[in-house]
Amino acid sequence: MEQKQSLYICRHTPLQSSLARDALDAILAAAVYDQPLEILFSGEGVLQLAKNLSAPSVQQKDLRKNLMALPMFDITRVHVCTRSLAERNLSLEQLGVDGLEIEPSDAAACQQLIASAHTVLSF
Amino acid sequence: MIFSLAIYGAPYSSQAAYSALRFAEAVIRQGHSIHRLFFYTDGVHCGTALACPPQDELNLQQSWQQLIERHKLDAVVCIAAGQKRGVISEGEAKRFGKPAFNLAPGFELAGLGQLADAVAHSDRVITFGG
Repeated sequence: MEQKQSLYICRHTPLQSSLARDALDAILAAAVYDQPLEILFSGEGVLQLAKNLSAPSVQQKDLRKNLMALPMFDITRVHVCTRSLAERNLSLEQLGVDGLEIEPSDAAACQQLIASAHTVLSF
Repeated sequence: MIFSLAIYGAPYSSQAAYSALRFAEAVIRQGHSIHRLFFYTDGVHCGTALACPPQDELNLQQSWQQLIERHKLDAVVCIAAGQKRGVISEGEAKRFGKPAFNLAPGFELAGLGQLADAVAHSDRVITFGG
């Protein structure tokens, strides 16, 4: 397959809709095909990276386990929108996923990520 | 230009699936091509053959089927998302011992690799309902 840089934007809370998990499934599938990709957590999606997100007692699988699988597919860095964090009174210190570097991106950096991607997939 | 559409919205629940249909029609009308329609998450319900909306409302599922058949479009329902939500083919129904199947003609079940393939082979991938 052709190598085109794609950007996956994760915009939904971990539990409210299935899109958080579905995005990760799509990302892992793309990684299997060695597609170069970046991941941006934005809006409510920043909550997916919260350290204190625990395996919920609502009959759903733990999303963090999927996030921790990313490094196995050579994805070791994700981006987080700092404006979305500020809007939710969250700090970078409250985020963390084993094996993942979380890079803060301000509005200009987010714009740059979107502009430099050949394809943007929004979840 | 080569387009692919990723459709996540369930029919009728939101505008997404209808917007996707209108967009697909416009793309074709303007002489572009569609590499693939990929129905994912709740969008898989667009692929059911069993929807019976009231007669004075648009039959969205049927409209998709007609568009797909008329233009011989590649329409994929994500197999994992479809299995979870009960949108399955005859083969899947047999495999899981289910009493019926409902995947409409023109749609096929396939994995997320087909979305990755769509990204690789399209100039634009447009998301509806994300």
